[in-house]
Amino acid sequence: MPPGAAIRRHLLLLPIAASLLALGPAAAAQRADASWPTAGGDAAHTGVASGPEPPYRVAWEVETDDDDPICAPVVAEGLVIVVMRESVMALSAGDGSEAWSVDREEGPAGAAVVLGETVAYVEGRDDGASLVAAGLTDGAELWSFDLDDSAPGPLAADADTVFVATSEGLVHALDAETGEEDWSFEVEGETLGAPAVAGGLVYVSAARPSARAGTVYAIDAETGEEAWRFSPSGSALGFSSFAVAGDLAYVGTGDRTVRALGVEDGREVWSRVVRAPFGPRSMPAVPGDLVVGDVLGGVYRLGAADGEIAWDFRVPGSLLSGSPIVAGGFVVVGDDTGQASAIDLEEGLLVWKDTFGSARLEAPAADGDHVYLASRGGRVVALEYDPDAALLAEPSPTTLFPLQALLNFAAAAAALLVLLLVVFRVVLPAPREEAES
Amino acid sequence: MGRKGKRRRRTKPAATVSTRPPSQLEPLEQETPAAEERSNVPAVPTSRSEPAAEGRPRGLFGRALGPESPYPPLGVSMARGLRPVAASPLILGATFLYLLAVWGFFAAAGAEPPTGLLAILTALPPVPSLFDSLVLLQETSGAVASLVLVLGVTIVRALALGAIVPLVVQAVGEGAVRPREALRGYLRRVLSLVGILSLEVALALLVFVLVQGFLGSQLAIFIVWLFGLQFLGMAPIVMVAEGAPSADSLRRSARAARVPGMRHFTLIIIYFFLLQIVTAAQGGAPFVATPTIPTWGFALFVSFVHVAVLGALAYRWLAVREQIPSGPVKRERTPR
Repeated sequence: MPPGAAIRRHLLLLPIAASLLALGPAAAAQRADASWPTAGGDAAHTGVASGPEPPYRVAWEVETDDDDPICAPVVAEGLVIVVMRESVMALSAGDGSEAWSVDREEGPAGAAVVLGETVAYVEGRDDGASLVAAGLTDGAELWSFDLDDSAPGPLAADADTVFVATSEGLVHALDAETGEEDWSFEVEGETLGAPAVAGGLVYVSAARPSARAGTVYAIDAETGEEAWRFSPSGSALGFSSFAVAGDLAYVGTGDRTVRALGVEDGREVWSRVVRAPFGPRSMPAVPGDLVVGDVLGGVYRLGAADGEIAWDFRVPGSLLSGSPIVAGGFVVVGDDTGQASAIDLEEGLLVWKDTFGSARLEAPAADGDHVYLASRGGRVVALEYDPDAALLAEPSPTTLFPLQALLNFAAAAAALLVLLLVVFRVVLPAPREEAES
Repeated sequence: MGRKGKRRRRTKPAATVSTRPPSQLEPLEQETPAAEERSNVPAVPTSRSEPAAEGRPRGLFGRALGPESPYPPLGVSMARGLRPVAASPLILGATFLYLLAVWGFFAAAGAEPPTGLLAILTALPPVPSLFDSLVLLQETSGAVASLVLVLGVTIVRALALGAIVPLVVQAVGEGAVRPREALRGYLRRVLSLVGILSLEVALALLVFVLVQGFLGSQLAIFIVWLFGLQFLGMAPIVMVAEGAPSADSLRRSARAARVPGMRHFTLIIIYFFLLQIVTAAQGGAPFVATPTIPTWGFALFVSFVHVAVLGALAYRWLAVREQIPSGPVKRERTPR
C-alpha cells in the first residue's frame, strides 16, 4: 500500500488496529512445538513459532563450502535439514554439528518435508527428477519415486501422505510409508510453489504464462479430485503459495493482490492490492492476522477477516524465494541482499537486522529456541535471543516524513545552486562576445 | 584562439544555408499565422554555430551518415544551452522547484517514486509521460483514479514547464532572462502545454502497449523514450518560441527531427544513454520514501542536466526555425 494511504488508513482504523494488537500475542502463541517440519512451519503454512524473540545473536554458524543451500531449512527431532545443491545435510539444532549428509543429484528443489521418522526431498531435474524418502536419523534412502519432471517448490505432507507439485503441473500424492502414488492431478500450467494441506484439501497455484493467466486449485487430499478452482485476472507470473487458517485460504496472485478465498467453495471473501507480485515459494504467515511479503521486499500485515493493511514495511532486498515467518510475536524475514530483519508485528517497526553475506536468504525456520537461516552463499545460521542487545525501532523506508524531505531538499538545492552559480558566473563566465550576442 | 579562427573560416550564417536537397520537404507557405505570432525571441547568432553550409557532407563519418545537418554541432549546442541555464538563478530555482512539485504530487498521491527514478522526474518530455502513467497505474487501483492522477501530474508539469521553457528560450536566444517578458501569456502557454503533454501521454502509452507485446516492457520503454525524444522533444520549445498551437508544435517538432543529417539524433541518443546511466546508477538503491540530502542532490543535479539539454535543443531550434515549415507540406520525388 502506498505510504500516504497507509498513514490515512492508520488514522481511520485505530480502533480496529487496537483490537488486532490485542489478538496478536495470543495468536502467535498458538504454535508451541519445537519443530518446523515443512516450509511454512506446518502443512497449512501458518508460519508461526513461539520464539525466539529478537534481538538475535548467532548461536552457531556452518559454512557449507562449495555446496550451497538452495532452499529453506526444516527442523524436526532436533535436526535442521537443509537441501543443498548436491547434497542433503542434517545439522544438530543445538550446536550445528553435522549429523549426517547424503549426496543428492543436482537439480531444483524446494524445502524438504519431515513426517515422523522420514524426511522427503527432491533430487535431479526434468525427466531425471525423483522424490526421495530417507530416514530422519541417518539419511538412508527408504524409497524413491520418479517424477519425470523438475519439482522446484517445497514439499508438503499431511499425516501419511507426501505431496509434490512438478513444474509442468502434475500434483502427486504419495504414500509416506511405501512411496506408492495414491493419485495425481494435472493442473493447467506450471507449478513453482508449495502445496498447502488443510481440512482435507490440497491447495496449489499454477501459472500459464502463454495465456498470461493463472489459476489456484483446491484438490481433495483423499481422492485427488478437484474441489474448486479460482482464476483471477491479471498476470500469470507472481503467484505465491497458499496459507490456510480457519475457513479462509490466503494466496497472493500475479495481479499483486492478496486474496482470501473461502475453503468451502473458493469464493473470494476479500482482496487487497499491494505494491508488487509474489515469489512462488513465498507464502503468507497467519499469526491471527496475515503477514505477506512481495518480490520488492514489501512486508504487509493485513487483517485476516477483511484484508485491511495495518502496516507495511520495506526490507532492502526482494523476497523472491524468501518468505516472512512469525517467531515470538515478531515477523522475521530474510531477503535477497542477505539481510535478515525482525519487524514488530504490532507496530510495523524494524527491531533487529543483521547481514549474512550478500547472497539470497531463503525463508527462515524457527523452533522456539532458534531461528534458522539458509544462505545461497553457503551458510546455515542459527540465531538465538540476545539478552544483551537492545531492540531498534526503525520505521519503514516507505514511511514519508514530509518536513524532513523538505529540509533535505532545501539543503541540497541551496548547495547545488551556489555551486553552479559560482562555477558558471565566477569561475567560467561567458566570453564577452557570447554575452554581447 | 587559433582553433576558433580556423572554425570560423568554415562557417556560414544559418540564414543563408540551404540544407535541403530537392528530395526534402518544401513548405507550401513561407509565412504562416503561427509564424507571425512568433514571440520576440530572436534567432540565435550563428557566426560561431557552424551550421552546415553545403549540401555536401564533410568528413569520413559525415559522408557515411548522409547530408550535413543544419543543426549546430553538439559541443556548440551544449555549450550554448548549458551556460545561460547554469548562470541563471531563476532558471535553476524554477527547475529545482519543478522537481519538488512533481515529487510532491507523487507523494501526495501516495506513490512516492522509487529512489532510483527521482532523477528522471524532470526529464524532457515525453520521457516522463510514460513514467507518470506507469508509476501511477502501478500505485493506484482503478483506471479512473489513475487517469485523474495522470491528468493531475500533467497539469503540474505544464505549470512548471510553462515558466521554465520560455525562460530557457529567452536565456538562450537573448543571453539574458527577463521574467516579466518571458512569462507573458503564461496561462495560454500552460493550456497549450497541457495539450502537448496529454497527447504525448496518450501516444507514449499507445506505443508502449503495442510494442510491449512483441518486445517486452524494457524495450518498449526504450523505444518510447528514444523515438519520443527524437520526434516530440522540441514541441514545448516550438510552442514557446513560435507561439504555435499544440498540434502545430508537435508537427513542427517531428519535422525538425527529420531534417537531413544526424546531429539531432546524436544529441537525442546521448541524452537517452544519459537517462539509462542515471536510472542504472540508482536503480538498485533501496527504496526510501523520504529522500536524503545526497538523493536530492543527485536528482537536482540531473534535473540541471535535463534543463541544460533543453537549452541545447532550444538553441538548435532557434538556429533552424526558419527552415522548418509550419504549414502543410508536399513531398517531391527524388529524381533519379
